[in-house]
Amino acid sequence: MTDGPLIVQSDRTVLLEVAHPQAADARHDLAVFAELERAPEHIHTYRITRLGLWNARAAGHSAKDMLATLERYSKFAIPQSVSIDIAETVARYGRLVIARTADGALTLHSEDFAVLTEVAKGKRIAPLLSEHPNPGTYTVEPWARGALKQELVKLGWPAEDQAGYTPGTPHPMALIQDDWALRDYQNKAIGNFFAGGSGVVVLPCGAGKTLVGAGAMARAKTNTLILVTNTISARQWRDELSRRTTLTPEEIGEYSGLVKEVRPVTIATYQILTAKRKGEYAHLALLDAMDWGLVIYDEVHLLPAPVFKLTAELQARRRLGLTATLVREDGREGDVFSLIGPKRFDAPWKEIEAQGFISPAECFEVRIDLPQSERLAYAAAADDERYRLAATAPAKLGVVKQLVDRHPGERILVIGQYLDQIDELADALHAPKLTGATPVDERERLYQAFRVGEEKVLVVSKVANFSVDLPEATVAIQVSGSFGSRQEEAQRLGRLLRPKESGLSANFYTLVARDTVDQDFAQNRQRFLAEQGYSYTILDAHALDQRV
Amino acid sequence: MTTALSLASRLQSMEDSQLYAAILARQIHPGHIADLFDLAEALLDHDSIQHALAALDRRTLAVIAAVTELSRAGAPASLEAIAAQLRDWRSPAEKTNPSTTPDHGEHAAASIAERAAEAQRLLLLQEEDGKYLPYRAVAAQLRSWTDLGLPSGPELAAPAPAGLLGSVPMTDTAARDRLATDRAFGSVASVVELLAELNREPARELQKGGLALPEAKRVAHAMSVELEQVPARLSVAARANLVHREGGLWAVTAAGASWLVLSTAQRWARLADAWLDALPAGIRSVLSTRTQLSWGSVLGSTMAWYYPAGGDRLQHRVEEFTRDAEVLGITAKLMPSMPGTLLLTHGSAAAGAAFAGLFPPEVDQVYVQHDLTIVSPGPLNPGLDARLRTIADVESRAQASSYRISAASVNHAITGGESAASILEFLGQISLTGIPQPVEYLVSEAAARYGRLRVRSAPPVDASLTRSHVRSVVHADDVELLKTLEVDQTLASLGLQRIAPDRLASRFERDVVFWAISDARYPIAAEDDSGTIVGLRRQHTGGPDLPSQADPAAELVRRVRIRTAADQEETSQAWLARQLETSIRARVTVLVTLEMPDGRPVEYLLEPTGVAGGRLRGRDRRADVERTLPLSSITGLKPAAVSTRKK
Repeated sequence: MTDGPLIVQSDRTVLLEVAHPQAADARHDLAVFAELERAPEHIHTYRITRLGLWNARAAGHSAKDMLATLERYSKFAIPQSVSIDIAETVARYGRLVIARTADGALTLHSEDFAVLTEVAKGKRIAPLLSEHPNPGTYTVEPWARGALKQELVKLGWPAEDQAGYTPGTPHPMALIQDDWALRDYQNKAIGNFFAGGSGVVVLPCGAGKTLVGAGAMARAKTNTLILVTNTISARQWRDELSRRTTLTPEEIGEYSGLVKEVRPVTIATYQILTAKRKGEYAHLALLDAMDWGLVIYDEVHLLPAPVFKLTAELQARRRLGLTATLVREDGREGDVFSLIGPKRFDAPWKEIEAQGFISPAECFEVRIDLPQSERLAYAAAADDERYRLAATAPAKLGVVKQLVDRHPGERILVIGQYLDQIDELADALHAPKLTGATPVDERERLYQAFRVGEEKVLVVSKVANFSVDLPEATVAIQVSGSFGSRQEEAQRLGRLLRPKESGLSANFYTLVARDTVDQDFAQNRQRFLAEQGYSYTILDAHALDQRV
Repeated sequence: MTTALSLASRLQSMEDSQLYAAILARQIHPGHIADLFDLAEALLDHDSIQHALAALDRRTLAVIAAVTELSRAGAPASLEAIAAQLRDWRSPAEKTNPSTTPDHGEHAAASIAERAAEAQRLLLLQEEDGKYLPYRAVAAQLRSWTDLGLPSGPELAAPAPAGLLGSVPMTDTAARDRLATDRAFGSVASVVELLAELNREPARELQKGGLALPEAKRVAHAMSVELEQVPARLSVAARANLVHREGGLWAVTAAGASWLVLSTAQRWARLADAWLDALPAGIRSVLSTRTQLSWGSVLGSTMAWYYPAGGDRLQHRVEEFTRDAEVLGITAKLMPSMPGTLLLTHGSAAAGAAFAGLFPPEVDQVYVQHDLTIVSPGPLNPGLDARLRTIADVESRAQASSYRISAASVNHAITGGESAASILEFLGQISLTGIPQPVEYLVSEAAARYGRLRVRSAPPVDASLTRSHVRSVVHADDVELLKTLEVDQTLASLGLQRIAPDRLASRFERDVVFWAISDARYPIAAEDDSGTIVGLRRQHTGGPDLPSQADPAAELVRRVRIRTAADQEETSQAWLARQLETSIRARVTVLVTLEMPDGRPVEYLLEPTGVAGGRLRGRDRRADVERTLPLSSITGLKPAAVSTRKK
């Protein structure tokens, strides 16, 4: 016992007292093997998970190191069950190794014959293996490298993948760092990625994930396939690569619903990759169209399930995942681990913020009392109508105007879920709207006008949630959103976290109809942000005028 | 002689509490038992007696065997005679086997008296004037033991062989103590949560034993343990009298409530003390002299010696003791921990003090956070923990604890007498970092809105409630709020009807209306008939039936008492008939009192053979002739053996 900042609990959670003098050091060492689960202002909660321990083991840390970290910083004695669990779990990683023989065959081998025999008998593993040349080795079907890793993780015996990568066709490129430079943490993320082979880099919105991707490409110097969430994002990648690297527009292709270009650097959307024609994936050929040496997955937490399946077949290529959060609403974190790779770098938002690379945001929940007529309409409505009624309550309109008036001259995003409401808001605020129906060119034009300050207020639907770079937005007003999605909340706040040249701090408002389901859903979403360390202030709409 | 007849008479004279305790101890299934005679027969049933004997330790069995031996002569045995019989049995064994463990103290007069009294409480022996007789069925059962491979009287009385438990090599004591500390701490924490959960809502026990599955899941969730770990925690708590079963429901006792305010180490000491007390004295003395030994299979063989007829139940008991010793950290991996050793050698206070130095120290300050959680960076002082639980819900509990404050938890606190000011003052006092705005807002808002709607049961006489089936009334000063309630779709099933501008009526009970409106997010409070706000417990589906579910043993006592009273009230003939029926079936001699036509009482020592045509037929044992006596003239009937002794 050291009276340190950590409390290690028998339920595998580790609490970190933020105000403790050793907190920063403890956090640094702990993050190696424990997942940050919640980070409200005083006590951060980490969880020691199997994936976390294997991630650490994959990065070269031993169970002894991890236990030493806990012993060094723990306030109380480490529960013995935790010590034993860590040692046993870590020991499972790498007992099985996927390798390649001199003649190119994939093998699964282990010196622990018992474990090897046990897993080889597994109903889902046996079909992936072909021969058993000696007691310590099985030959793996050439197509089964990804599937095997997936199944082994599920069984609790993650394999170390030493089968290597195809180098890909060389394609020279470099970063042009004339008026900028990669930040330290970006360099570290790139370094970790290459040291590990494949894997995921976790950075908050605004912390420069695209540049990490560009940095990785500059180091790999090979044909690269970049998979992104949508066309707007594809174009932002293209622009950023053109601006920050030696790549010319001719070297960068876009492969989307609109354009089908295959070039040494190709940016494709998840949607086009998973589009089917007559029941078959119509664009699978893209994966083999070039000899890719690097595949980058943007927003890896949104990777659609079919892409996992396709990725299982891309295991010979070096893969980089980029994301703000490893939390997947579908719980498929294990697939990210086995198919993209272990986490190679992670930094909590607040730490990056403290370094000044993303601007701090203040969050407000504005509670609106519905007038009696709206309250009656809500009460009389059926359950499935209630959320819509609460979310689109006309009483919100006046409050939005009030809030817009509170931030004269600032760039403001008004975010809604329902098209009718978006129309009303756009009319009332005399502001342009941007929804899924807005053509891509028009969207780009509006974003550009917003960036340069020609448009101060944009009313947007969920199309603006992901991967759109709007660095000058300082205010977001969320009028309605989908049901309690943590991802969505993080993304929306992410819009505001880009570094501000203006020096203004960001304000994030959520409008909530009091005593309705709106309040429940809002609470769900806010909880995620509060757990990320963003404090919320709750305001009464009727008292807004009295607040500064 | 002691038969079902005399047992029925004895049962009749017992206090209800004694009868209840005996039924519980003997685990009598109420089944088809209608009256005291049925009960007496059930108690003297072969299987029931064997079941009761199997639960007794060797020394108590020896006392019963001695009484049985002495009763061969037909006379009841005094304590002195029992002691002499035991000595007599023991002496050859002590002579032939000098290595036996001397345990003369066990046969001391006080010990014999205690054991005889225990057998008497279990209705295996009958006592009168300080002397004991076995029930005939008990004596017969014990005499047949050697045929069943069970020990004879002399074997039961024999001293314990030496070296029942063997020592094993020392292992890593530090690791063992760490594991024991984790378990001890975790067990105390989970029992705290068990009590909190049972306080919130008692849990139903199945007739066949064990908690009903939904209840077990609920309790397991509250304790953050696996389902299969629930019985051990419940057993540990019940043994320490922190919880008890009443009317088929597990609830917290007064002792449980006071246990909650003790420190973690003191709480542990109470649990361990109860474990130690329940440990049979023989086992306890053996364990306390040999603390560096494994409790594995050798403990089983030791227990088998002390409980020679234990069988599967003994096996279960051994498993239960060793399981609970592990749960409490008295042992770790079946070896005594350092505090476990102290428990056996110096008692629970010393052991508790040892654990106090190993447990995380208590804290009295917490972090109150924006996300509405309150985290204590260590075990929170029990007094503060108790109050915080009235304001916030426990989210997780381990070395540190996490609580979450919500509108519902604040409402609950206000119902319990808190106010926004008192809650904020308390949080302010214990918070290390002040109170975040969202917490303050939540508390203030919930308090301000609390009770804007009130619901109470409809008064039995109310002129305005002429509608049929009005069971509850919702009232508020805010008429608009009532209008909203009236049209609210989710409340349609309550059938709320306006009976005055400020009142709505429902055909449902107050509690049902309260929870429905509360779930629909309206600020409602429940009132009693005097208008005072009361806190309500939410019932599970089928919940209203739970409290009324009778304790089977209590129900049996009630049933046989009613039947006996009815028999005696109507006429003594029914009671007489049952007595005769029992004595005929058991072929026992009875002393019958007959009222002669001139009013003079006459006694016959009779072996009844049958009842027919309103007359009792039997053989007169004194005159050795057959007699038929008119039932209508019989005024009393006693078992002959008892009455003979009285003379």
